[in-house]
Amino acid sequence: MSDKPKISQRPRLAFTLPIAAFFIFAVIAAVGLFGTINGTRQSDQLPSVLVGKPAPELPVTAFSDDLSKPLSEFSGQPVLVNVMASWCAPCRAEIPALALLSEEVPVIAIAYKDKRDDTAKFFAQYGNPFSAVWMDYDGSYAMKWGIYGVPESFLLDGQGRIVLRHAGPIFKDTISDVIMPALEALQ
Amino acid sequence: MIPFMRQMLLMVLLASFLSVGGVFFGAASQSFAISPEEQLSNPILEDRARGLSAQLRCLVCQNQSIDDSDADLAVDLRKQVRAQITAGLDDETILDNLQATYGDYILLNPPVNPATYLLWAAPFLLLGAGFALFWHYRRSARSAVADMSKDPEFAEEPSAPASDKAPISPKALGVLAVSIICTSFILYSQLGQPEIAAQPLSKRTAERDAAQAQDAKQDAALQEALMTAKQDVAQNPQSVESQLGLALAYARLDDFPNEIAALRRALKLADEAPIIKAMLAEALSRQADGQVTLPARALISEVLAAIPNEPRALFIAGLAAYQDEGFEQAITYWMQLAKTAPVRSPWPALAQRNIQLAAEEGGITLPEEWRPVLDEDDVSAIASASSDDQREMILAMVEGLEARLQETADDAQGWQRLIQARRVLEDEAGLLRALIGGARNFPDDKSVQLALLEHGLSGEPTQQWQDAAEQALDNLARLDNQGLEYLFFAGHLARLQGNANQAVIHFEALATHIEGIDGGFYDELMALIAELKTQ
Repeated sequence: MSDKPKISQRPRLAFTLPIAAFFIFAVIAAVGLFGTINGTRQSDQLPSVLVGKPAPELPVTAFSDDLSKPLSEFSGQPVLVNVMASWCAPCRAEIPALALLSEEVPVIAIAYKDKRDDTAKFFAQYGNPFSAVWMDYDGSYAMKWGIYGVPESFLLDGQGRIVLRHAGPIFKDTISDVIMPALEALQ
Repeated sequence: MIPFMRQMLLMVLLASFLSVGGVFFGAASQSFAISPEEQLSNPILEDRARGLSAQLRCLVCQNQSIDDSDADLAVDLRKQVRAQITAGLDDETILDNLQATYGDYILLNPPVNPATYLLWAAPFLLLGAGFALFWHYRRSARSAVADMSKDPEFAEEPSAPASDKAPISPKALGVLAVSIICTSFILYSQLGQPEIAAQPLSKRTAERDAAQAQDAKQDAALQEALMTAKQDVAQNPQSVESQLGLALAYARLDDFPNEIAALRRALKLADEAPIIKAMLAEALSRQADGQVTLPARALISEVLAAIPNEPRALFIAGLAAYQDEGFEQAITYWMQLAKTAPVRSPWPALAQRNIQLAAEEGGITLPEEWRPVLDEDDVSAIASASSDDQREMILAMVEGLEARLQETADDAQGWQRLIQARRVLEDEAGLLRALIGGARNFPDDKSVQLALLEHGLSGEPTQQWQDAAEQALDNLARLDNQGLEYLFFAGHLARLQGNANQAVIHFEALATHIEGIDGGFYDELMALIAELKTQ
C-alpha cells in the first residue's frame, strides 16, 4: 500500500509534461502570430549580414557629372546610401524625409533598374535631395548590397563601414527613431 | 488491455508534437517559375542551377525558394546563380557567396552553427524525451501491478484497480485530443484564409500569352483600319467624313496628336461645325490625361453658345466643372445632358453615373428621381448573393421602379432607367411595357417614340405594339412629319395593317430623300414599292 501514491504520481507527470510543453509552444506561436498581425513583429526587417562590414562598391555610371561623387569623397563623415527607383511608389513618399535628412548627412542614391530619363523626370517632379546619384541599370550592383526590394537604405560610418540597414521607405519618424540614434552612437 | 490503449494515446499525443520538427523535411514542391530564356544550354549545369535554386529562399516571398518564385529578386538571384555556375564556381562557393551578402536567411535549410544547434536538435530531444517518459511510465506501471499482485487485498483482481487508479482515463485523453483538433480548426477558420485560390504560374503564363495574342490581333486590326482610313483621305481629301474616319482610327490607337490634326482639318472643311468642335475638345482632353484643358474649355463654350444641348459639349462642360470641384455646376450640366440626349445614345447612362459620382464627391443630396435604382447597400447585397438570387434581387428592384413610375409617371429619368434595365434583363414584355409607358408620358420626346417604333422591327410585331406604335407615329408626325424616320415607320406600319396604298405613298416620299445614297437600301426600297404596287 505504501507504493500507491507513487503509482498515481508518476503517470500524472508523464501525462502533464507533454501537455505543458504543448501549451508553452502554443503561447510562443500565439505571441509570434499576433505580433505579425498587429505589426510589432516585422518580418520585412531581415537582419543584414553586411552590418559591420565595409560597404560594397557603387555603380560605375553616374546620373550626371555634378552628381558623380564617389564614396571616397565623403570619407571621414557618415553617409546614407539610398537604393531607390523612379518606378517605386514608396520611393516618392520618402523624398521629403530624405530632404530633411540630407541636412544632417549626405544622401547618395543608387537608382535601381532605372532609366536615366525616368530618373530625371522623377527628380523634376519630386525633388532631388541626393548629393550623388549612381545608375544601376541591371540591378547587379544593388545585389552586392544584399537588397531585396526598393527602397532600402544603408548608413555608413566615416570609415565606410555599414552600421545600419533599413528596408522600406524612410519617414520622419524613421529618422528620429532609427537613424538619428545610430548617428549619435557614431559620434 | 486498457493500459496499453492509454500508452498508445500518449504516443499519438507525443507524435503530434514531434510533427512540428517535420517541417524541415517538407517535400520540395513542383516549380514553374523559371522562364526558358534563363535556362542554361548545358543540361548538367542547368540541373545544378535548379538544385541550388531550390535551396535558396526568395527574400520577397519568404516561404518560397527562388526556384518557385517569380518575384523580380528571385529572377535576379537565379541569373546570378547561373552566372556563377558558368564561371566555374562549385556549389558550396556559390552558396557561401550568397550567404555573405544576404545572410543565413537566404538558405532554406538553416546551416548547423551554434545559433541553430537547438533548432536542429529539438526534434531529436523531443523524441528522446518522449521515449524516456514512455519507458519510465511503463516500468512504474508494471512494478505497481507486480506490487499489487503481492498484496493480498488486490490478489483477486489485479488489473482492474490499477486502471481505476490511473490518473486520467483514456476517455479523457480522447476528449482532449479531439478538443485540441477542434480548437485548431476554430483558430484556422478565424485566422486562416482558405478562400485564397491557388494561382499556379503556368496558368497565369498561359492567360498572359492568350491576352497578348488577343492584343496583337486587335492591334493588327486597328492598324489595318488606319491604313484604310488613310487611303480614304488620300482619295477624298476634301471630305469631312474621311477626315473624321481618320481621326477615329487614330483615336483607337491612342495616337492623340494625329487624331487632333485630323479633327482640325475636318473642322476647317466643315466650316467650324460645333459638333466637330466638341469632338476636338474631347480629343484635347484625352491627350491631357482626361484633364479638360483651357483650349478645350474655350471650344466647349463656343459649342454650347451655338447648340445649347450638344451632348458631347455638355458632358465635357460637366467634366470641367467637376475637375474644378464645382460639383453642383457639374451636376447641372450632366442633368441637362441626361434629359436632352437621345435615349438610345450612351450619354444618359454616362451622365447618370457621373451625377452619382459628383454627388458623392461633393456631399450633395440628389432629388429622388436622380438617385440610382440601386444604392450602395443594394449593390453590396447583390454582390454577395448567388447568381440566381442576384437576378431575383435585381428583378425585385426593377419591379419596384416600375411600380413607382405607375404613380409618378412624369419622371423621364425613371422611364429611361426602366427601359435600360428591361433591355439588359432581356425581358421583352417588360421592355415593351416600359417603352409604351415612356412614349405615352413623354409625347414630345422624339427618341422615346423612335425607340418604341424600332422595338417592333425585331421579331413578330404584337397587337399591343401596333396600337402603341400608331400613337407614337402620331406623336412623331407632330414633331417632324417630313423626317426620314417618320416616313419609314409610317410606311412600315401601313404595310403591316395591309394598307398598301398608304405604304407606297410614304415609301416613295422616303425614296426621294435617299436617292443617290450608297448602300443597297435604296434598291431594296424600290423593290418593296414595286411589290406593294402589285397588291
